[in-house]
Amino acid sequence: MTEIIARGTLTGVPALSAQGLSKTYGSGANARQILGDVSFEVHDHETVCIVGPSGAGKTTLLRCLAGLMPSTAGSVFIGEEKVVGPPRRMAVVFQDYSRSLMPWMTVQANVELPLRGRPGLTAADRRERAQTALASVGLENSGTLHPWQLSGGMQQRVAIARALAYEPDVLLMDEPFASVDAQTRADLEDLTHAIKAKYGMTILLVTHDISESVYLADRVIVLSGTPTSVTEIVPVDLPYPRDQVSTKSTSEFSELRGHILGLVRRTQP
Amino acid sequence: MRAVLGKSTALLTEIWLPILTVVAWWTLSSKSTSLYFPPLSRIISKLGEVVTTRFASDILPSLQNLAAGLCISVILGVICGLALGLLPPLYTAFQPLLEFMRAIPGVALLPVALFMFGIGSDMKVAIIVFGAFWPVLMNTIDGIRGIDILVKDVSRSYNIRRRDHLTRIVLPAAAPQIIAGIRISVSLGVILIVASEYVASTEGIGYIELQSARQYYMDVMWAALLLLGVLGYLLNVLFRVVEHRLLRWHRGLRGTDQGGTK
Amino acid sequence: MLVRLLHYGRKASGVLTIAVALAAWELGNRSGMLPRSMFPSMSSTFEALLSLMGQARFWQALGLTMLSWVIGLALAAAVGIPLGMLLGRVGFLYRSTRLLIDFLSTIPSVSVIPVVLLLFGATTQMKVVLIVYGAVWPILVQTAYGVRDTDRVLIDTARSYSLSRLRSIRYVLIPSAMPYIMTGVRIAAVIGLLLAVSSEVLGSAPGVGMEMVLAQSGGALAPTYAYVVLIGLVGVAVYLAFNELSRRLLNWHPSERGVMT
Repeated sequence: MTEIIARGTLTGVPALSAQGLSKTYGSGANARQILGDVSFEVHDHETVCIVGPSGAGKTTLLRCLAGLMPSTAGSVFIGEEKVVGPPRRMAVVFQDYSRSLMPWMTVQANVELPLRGRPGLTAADRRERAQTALASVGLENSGTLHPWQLSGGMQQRVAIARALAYEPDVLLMDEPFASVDAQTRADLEDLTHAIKAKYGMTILLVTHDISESVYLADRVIVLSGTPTSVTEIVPVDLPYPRDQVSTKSTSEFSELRGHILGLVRRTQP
Repeated sequence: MRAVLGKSTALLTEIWLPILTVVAWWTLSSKSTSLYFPPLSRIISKLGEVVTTRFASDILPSLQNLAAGLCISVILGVICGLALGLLPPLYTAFQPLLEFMRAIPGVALLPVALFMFGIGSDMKVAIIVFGAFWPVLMNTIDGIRGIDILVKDVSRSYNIRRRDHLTRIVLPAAAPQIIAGIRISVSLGVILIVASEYVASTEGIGYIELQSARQYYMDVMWAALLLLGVLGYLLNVLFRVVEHRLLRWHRGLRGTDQGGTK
Repeated sequence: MLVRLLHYGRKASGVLTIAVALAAWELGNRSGMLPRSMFPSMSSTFEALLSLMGQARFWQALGLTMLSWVIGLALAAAVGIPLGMLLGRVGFLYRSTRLLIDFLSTIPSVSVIPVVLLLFGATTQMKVVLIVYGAVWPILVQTAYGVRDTDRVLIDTARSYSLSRLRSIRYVLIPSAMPYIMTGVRIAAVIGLLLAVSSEVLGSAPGVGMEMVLAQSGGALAPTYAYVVLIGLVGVAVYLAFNELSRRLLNWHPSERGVMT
């Protein structure tokens, strides 16, 4: 952890940056531009949320950032490294936990899977690391179960544990809490704060929930409708530790939420 | 108490009709003098005779050829299916040819197989492979092509190594389809082993059946038919047990096991 | 433009593969790599097919094969669909007959050939009986599954609007079980064709299968293979026809609409 801080502060290179990113599907008359010139930077240890009206190319943007899909123009950097495929230093938590966990494996095996074949890691190390990650999300006793034996919120915790065990510098989260009920959602938001405090990685989280973005982020990137570009980047100076009740009832919180809501509404197609 | 009662009624509803059928057949045929429909008691005793005296000479060869043919079909089908399923351009190139080859009913190749392999085990195994290979192949391809894009995204974004991707993601994800294909292959295999034993053969359960029918030993013929039925049923049950074990996660995922395909 | 080109490219690659396979067959034969005692050349096989197609006897045989298939399949559907719906609706009947149907349907259908041959002789009637026996099970079982799988909400909806029994069968039960029924019929069509050919090859009933056996026993290599090609083509035609049929009948179903994600 200290090592990461040192590198970040010394070089001043952003942990993740998008430069002039654009994406067009199809060609000729059928061409549909989804992303149009998206640029932003995420600094080391920052939590940044991306919000935008529904229909904005949030998922497309995330797939480009994760190296799962080539962009039509522009580039993505992790540190100084240009992203051409899924980078080793990045982990992704997908929205649909029921599909992103392998149902034929136990929870433990799911978390261990990405660590297989990693040089210098014995089977025992792997097991231990997975157990630590599961403990961090409060699932130390569920390793032998299968994902489908767990509730939705717990499944998403497994997906988060898988990402933690991977030890990424940057954690991408694609609407991670969109498919769970409100109470679970609040719990998972607090879990995000907790793992952030513990692991200190850079987090970029896509969401459509404006309260969530303000509650979680150091900065909120507001996107416009298609073709998507950055409308405004809103700094969130709410103090840590944040709390579901007290933070959300401050006037600063409401102001920020109102401001961002206004931006999103205005840019709605 | 109530659960026990419920269970025994459930069992009773399942088995009353099969029992009634056997009893009815037994009593109705007991005094039968018809050439074609001998008493069930005689068929059963012939069945015992066939099983004890002709096990090594006929039943074993049938089972051996069937097992060999099915093993080759499954191994070949899964390997080729992996290649075609993972390489879409290869699949599009081969699809029309495969559709044609698979549309040929295995039995139609018996005359051709006689040209190629003559009479003997090779011919029978070849016929089984030709018929039973396709369901495994096609289902493996379908299974792999149907893998959720999100599963592929997970595998890629976590840089899962090729070997693990194949053995821990692709094969298990396609397993329900592959196993469904193998199941079709097993029943096709039984059909084809019997068919190949009808044609220019001197051993096998199918051979016993056809020979006794030609010589009007009706009791032996019915016994052989019954034996084939029991064999087919047992294979099916055995297969269901294996499937049940292997695909526990799949049932868990879907909640309850319903069966049937859309 | 590019998409269209790709589309044609895909079709072309399939045609190309078939062309290459045919060419390899011909070349392998001419060079002697494929033993000539086992394989006729590709050209002589298609020549044989063409000359067969000029004979009335050939068309008669094909007609007999297809006739028994059509009649057998129609009878199997006429018996299997109503019976399957009954079993699907009445839980007691379904559970009572399950084991029996399980056993009867796993008897390898060709093994019934000696029996029907004795009872009916090498006739079209024998073929039809055999095909009905083999083809009725998938239709019956799939229909029963389909009816049992009908969404409770749909049935409750029909009830709450007090649809008559006949109407709810016509407008709710049959359509919602249709995907299953079509699957059953499709499997039955393939089994039916297999059994039609089997009864001709194994039981010497008149039809293309018997003609093929006659060619084989006469040592006529090329015509034997020509029959195999022909039967393959018939199989493809059956497959395509049933795909088209289910596409038309099930245009509302997600599997035919193409699922939107």
